[in-house]
Amino acid sequence: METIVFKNALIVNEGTSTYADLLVKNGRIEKIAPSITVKEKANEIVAEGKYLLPGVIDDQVHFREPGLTHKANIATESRAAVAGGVTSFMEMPNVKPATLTQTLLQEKYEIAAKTSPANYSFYMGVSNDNIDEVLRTNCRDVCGIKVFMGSSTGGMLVDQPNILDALFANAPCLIATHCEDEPTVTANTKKAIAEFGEDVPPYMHPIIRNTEACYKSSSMAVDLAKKHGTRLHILHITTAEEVALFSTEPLESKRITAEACVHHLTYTDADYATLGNLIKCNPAVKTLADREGVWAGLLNGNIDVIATDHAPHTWEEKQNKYANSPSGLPLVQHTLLMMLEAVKEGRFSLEKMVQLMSHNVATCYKMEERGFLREGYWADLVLVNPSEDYTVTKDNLLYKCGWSPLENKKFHHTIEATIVSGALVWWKNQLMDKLAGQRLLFNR
Amino acid sequence: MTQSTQKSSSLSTRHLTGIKELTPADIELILTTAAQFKEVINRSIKKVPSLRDITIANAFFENSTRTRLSFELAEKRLSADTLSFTASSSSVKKGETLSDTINNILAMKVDMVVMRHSSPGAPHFLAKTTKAQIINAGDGTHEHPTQALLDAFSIQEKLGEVGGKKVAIIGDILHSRVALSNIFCLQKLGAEVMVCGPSTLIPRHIDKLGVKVGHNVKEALEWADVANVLRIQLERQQIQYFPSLREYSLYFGINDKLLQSLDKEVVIMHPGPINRGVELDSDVADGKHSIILDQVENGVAVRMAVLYLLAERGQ
Repeated sequence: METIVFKNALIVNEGTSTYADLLVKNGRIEKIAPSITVKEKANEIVAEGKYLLPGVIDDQVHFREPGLTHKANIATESRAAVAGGVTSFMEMPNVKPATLTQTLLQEKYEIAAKTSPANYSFYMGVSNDNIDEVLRTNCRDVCGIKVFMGSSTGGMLVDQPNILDALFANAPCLIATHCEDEPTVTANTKKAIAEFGEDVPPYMHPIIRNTEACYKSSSMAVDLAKKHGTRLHILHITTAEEVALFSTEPLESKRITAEACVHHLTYTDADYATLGNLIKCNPAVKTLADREGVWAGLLNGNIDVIATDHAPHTWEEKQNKYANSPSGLPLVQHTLLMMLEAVKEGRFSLEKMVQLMSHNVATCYKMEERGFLREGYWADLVLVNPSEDYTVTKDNLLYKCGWSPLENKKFHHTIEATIVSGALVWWKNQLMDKLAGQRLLFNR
Repeated sequence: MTQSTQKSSSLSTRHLTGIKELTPADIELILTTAAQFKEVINRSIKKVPSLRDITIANAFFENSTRTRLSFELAEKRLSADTLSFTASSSSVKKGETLSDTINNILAMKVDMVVMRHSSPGAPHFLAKTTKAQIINAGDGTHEHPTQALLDAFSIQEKLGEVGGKKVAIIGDILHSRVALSNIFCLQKLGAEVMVCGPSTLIPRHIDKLGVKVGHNVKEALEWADVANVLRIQLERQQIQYFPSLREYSLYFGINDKLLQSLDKEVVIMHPGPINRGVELDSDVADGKHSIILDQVENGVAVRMAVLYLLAERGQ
């Protein structure tokens, strides 16, 4: 096990930033103090003028393994994650075959144990006919149960009211939902095809997958959760209207929480003109007012966490015309850089960013000993250099799909080092290729 | 660097009849949104789909070139469907009443009406009596809210903020809807305002609005961070408010020599069209302190923001 000491870093944690040293030993944060001297052999990292943050926890990624590995796999995407300062990820069940049994879920954990440098957890999927399997989920070491409420992704659409009722009443742990009302989307798609024929322009995406579709589904999920007292987490909120569904009470006492994604906080419908289907995703990137509404929701406390919904597809797949271009875009390597840019623009403070990307995710999922810089906790850390620029190019992308909507974008920070469970896995633009990732544990 | 909380993300009103009816938060929201649209209109593809399926009628009962074009461009950039209509080509001349004209336009399923009218209060009347959302593009000598918003936006862009700045409005205050809207807007944003011009062109009791009143242009410029120079409205000078244009120019015109004589810099603005050699000399209008062309560019971004934010409130 490595011993690492960060000297004089700006430690950003739990609302404050202070210059201090931080010692990593036996995988844990051993000590945080104004000055630490280490007697044994240690890797000393001079961190003058750099930020030391808790590693980002991304509660929504699609790594495509098994079955869709022409797009991505756990090995490639978890490497991209640590290169971007993401130390833990929670992965979605819409793979092939979909993660709808405990056996299939277990198989994903086995792949990750052999290939992931980042900490991992996998969601259990729900369909209209696997409720018994779902109820057997062990909530100690599985992050949650994923329900597609009205968006058909790989035959996992749950649209039968009695199944939803049973699920919300009996879920053993957190339910994470994708909320878009399928009948609304289908009707809007028909209208768009009537207007444009087979060549629907990409900018129609937010008009097809509109506010009504989102609100109808998410308000239904909230109503169901209130009825049953369910622990509900609604993923990727994209509209200003939905923000009002969530309370601003302290996160610790919330039963219903919400997530926003970096691309919905970055792009607007003005970007379809230049990026087209590359930013086609579900739910869609919507208008300026929606983006600003979601930002306001984050700052006011209606929305609790920031994630990526990293969803890679091959370049060739994305080049299809609108109707056949799959939804989703790769983001996990740049999520922290994107949000640091927002800090630079004055959107929020560094402390608030850390709260939304690390602390709150850990609290939301009741994660064990991660997400904060506290002595005794696992050492999941990221060191950011705020005085070195970083430009995204095809060459420095680690995704299997080999493209990013952010190519040629210049960021004003660099991810200098990433530590996962005490191991240095990313250092000065190099992967250290250590399988440091551990299975995430939850106190519930 | 902590963000101020509880920023509003929608307007408190569904019409833009005047600045008087807006809250400071509304104005801030319009300016922030306009900054984002300004970035969009400087891209190679300037169009956004946000106002698809929204129909906007531009009803200009009084002549206008730049305001109408600026609105039309803003509407096109937002992908709205538009129909334009001017008094000279319309049934107004045939004796139709204002509300009948508008109701006829609305019967064609129009969502918003951008209107200019020579009667003060015409947009307020229509906001009460018709279903459409009304945007005032100038009502008589009363208000011209989008001009005031783009002026505030231009000041903010040039000087960083509007609050705490000193703005002198110079010229024909009496006939100017730009002046009144500017006074309301600047004061709501925390700026100090002075009006300056010949006594005959300054309304009595205007000091009740909390503005300074001056009659010496050099003193006004010495006081101000920004000079918003208004056009002498030749078409409204039926009676003689001052002896001659030459005399006006001599006492109230701004030229480079006058600016050089100040030991400070003043930002020069003008809502256009300029009477060159009357209120502004060419060397000032085209000089380095002038942001007159920025005002024109910003006009499109600000009008996009207004249309867009009102459309959000309309549904």
